[in-house]
Amino acid sequence: MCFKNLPIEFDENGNARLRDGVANPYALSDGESRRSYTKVATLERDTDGPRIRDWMIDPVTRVAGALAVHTKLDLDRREAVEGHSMAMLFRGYELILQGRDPRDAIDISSRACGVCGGVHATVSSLAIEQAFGVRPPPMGILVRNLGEVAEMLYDHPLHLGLLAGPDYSTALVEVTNPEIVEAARRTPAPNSASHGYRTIGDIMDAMNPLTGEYYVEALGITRLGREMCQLMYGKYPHPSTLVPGGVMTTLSTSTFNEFYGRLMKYVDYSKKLIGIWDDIVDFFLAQDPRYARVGERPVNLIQTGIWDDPEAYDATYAGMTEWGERRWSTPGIIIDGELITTRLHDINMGIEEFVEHSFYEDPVDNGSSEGLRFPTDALGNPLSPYHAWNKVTIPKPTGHNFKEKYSWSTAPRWDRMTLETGAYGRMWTTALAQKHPDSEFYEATGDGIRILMPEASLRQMELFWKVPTRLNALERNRGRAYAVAWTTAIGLSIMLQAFDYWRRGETRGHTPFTVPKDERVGAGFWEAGRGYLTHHLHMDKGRLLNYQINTPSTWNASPRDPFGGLGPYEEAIIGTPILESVSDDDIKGIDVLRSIRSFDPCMPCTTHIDTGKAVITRELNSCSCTLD
Amino acid sequence: MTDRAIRVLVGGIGLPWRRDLDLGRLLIEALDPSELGEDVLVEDLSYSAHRVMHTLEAHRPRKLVLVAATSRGRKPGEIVRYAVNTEVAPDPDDVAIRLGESVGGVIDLDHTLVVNRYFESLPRDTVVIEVEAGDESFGTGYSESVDAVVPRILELIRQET
Repeated sequence: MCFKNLPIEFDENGNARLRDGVANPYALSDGESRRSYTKVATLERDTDGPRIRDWMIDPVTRVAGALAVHTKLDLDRREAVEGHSMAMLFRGYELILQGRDPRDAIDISSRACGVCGGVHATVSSLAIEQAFGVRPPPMGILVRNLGEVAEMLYDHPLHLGLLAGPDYSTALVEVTNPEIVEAARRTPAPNSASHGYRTIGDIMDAMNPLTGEYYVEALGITRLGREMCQLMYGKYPHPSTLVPGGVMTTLSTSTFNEFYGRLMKYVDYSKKLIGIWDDIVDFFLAQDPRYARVGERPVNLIQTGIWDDPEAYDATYAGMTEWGERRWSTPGIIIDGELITTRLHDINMGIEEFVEHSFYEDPVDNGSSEGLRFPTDALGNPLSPYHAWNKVTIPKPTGHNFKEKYSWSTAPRWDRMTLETGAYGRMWTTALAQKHPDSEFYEATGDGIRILMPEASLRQMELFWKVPTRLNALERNRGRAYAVAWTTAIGLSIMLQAFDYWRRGETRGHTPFTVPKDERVGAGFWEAGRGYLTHHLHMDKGRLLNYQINTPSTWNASPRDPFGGLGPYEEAIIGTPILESVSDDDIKGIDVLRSIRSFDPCMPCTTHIDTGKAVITRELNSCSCTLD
Repeated sequence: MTDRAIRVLVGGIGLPWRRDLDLGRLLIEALDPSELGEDVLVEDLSYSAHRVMHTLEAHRPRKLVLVAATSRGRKPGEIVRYAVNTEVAPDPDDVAIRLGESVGGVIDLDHTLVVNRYFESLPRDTVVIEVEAGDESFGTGYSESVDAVVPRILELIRQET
């Protein structure tokens, strides 16, 4: 029994159903039990003290896309006591895709993000092939896997080096905490042998924007990831070869050899990266244990899993739990640190998206399922009127205040709980579940993931990512650094599989298909660099009736829900201590910014076309994701 | 990822579905590479500045011609052709901000020029051909004022190669 708030129970055969006697199972405003989880009472503090500074950060820099954050700083207690997360632009792909040929969704939804278009193209092809009933051949699955390994290896180093890294650099820290820079100069770096920096101060110098060695190297390493994507996907960031039922890439032995050569460079790079981030995280925590409270929130995570087993993945909805649990990265839900399910069917039936505080209209009357098109999925599992297959996107930019509406992001919840997602999250679920396929290069141990990075230019290293006891800004960044090594290990495992199939002559990359003319639904479950990613579609007569995209940053940047529950960024901000050693007037808010950036926000794909009625404060073009 | 020696790289920067602002990308498709010569590479550079940098580092062209529609308050359809001064480095603070935005997915001619000037990835001979957009709304097809100057822009590109 994984549901605590929604009245969903399971019979002796494990089939889900709504509990008898609940008049309106998905009501928003009745039933105390469905609101008992709300942590508002413990998280929200007194925000009316005499020395409260109201602070609006717009835009938050060094994040992808347009994000604004509102907070209140209690200058006496030196901590943030309020938090609102605002996605400032509307995306609108759900509206663009209505009425189109489903095959268009791969190319169009890819543009939802200029950073990680490959993940959207991939998850779209998964959703479409499920609706079409077409199973890709093993090589098609493997090439998709490798393309996605490459995309993660583009994404994580970029975030760590160019977006999050500067927050711990000498250039920034000497403004907010000069004493830490001084201490860093005196502190030897424990992992000097792996990264080459003698002191922590040297690492912090290397993190300086534009001039720091590590910063510049991170910029350079992204080139390799992009080239690897191009090898598998034809082009990148917006792939040209992904189709329902596999890939149309022209493959040869040199494709794999070129990919392999580049992947081995990440074998070395990840050893260095982990040394850097272990040293930085441990140093900051040693300087002041209160850094563990920066960006901290409960360990409540949702992951959809990524990298399919070519023998298990059959593209069916019915088989989704089975093939999902065979993924190299295991899907799952973690509540208060405990893994409560790894079943994609459970994950799917518990998802709802609320718009109480978002610039959309809610056409559902207090959770009523009357006239609902999909009260259940194809297996009889109950679905909410707020589930993606039932949800419609109706922009309504009205309200514009924190009590009414303040974001273009919706508020996704699972079992009506606030969940976070990320690269570290998929390591977390995989570590606890211990269900991944056998690999020579990594092993989930129940309390972490053991990773073997073979010898390349640097000697072989065994690395161990231990599941953290707390989820905060520093552990998100540390986890993401380990995710580079882990993703490389998965890439090596998949390469061996691909070589094996290639030797056996199983080189076919796709399965032919026809576009069905009857009514169908499909769902793609995959992950972006930042975690959770789903595309749900409903089609009939060869056209899309509804297409819903739900992204990791929609979860993480979500505003409050109808029950008063906060979004993950909001939870992370509230309670974050202000650890700057400067006068009140000189506070830069770096700890609040560290909190937000540690999630690796990606706002282009978070938000759902500006209607032209809102106030435009700044216009940006982000790969057509922010069209107006 | 090519062994071909590139003398001139013609790069278009456009924004899909933004009508005139998509000109750079669409003009690249309209060009016939065979009439430009084997050592001329025509490429869609509608991606982030650092990715353009990697492309330029891979090809090392002797000359770069960038084509894009921009919105600078000029008369719609007005064409401006200028050489980029690669000797003067841009302000590092501006570079840091633009690079941060670029890795976050922002695609823009100015970001491309600033970031690539800073990292010295632009060839000394870099020419920009800009046209003032008349219609930036969502959709396809050019405004009348931009549509009328497309042949002239193509002619300018050919002159530069």
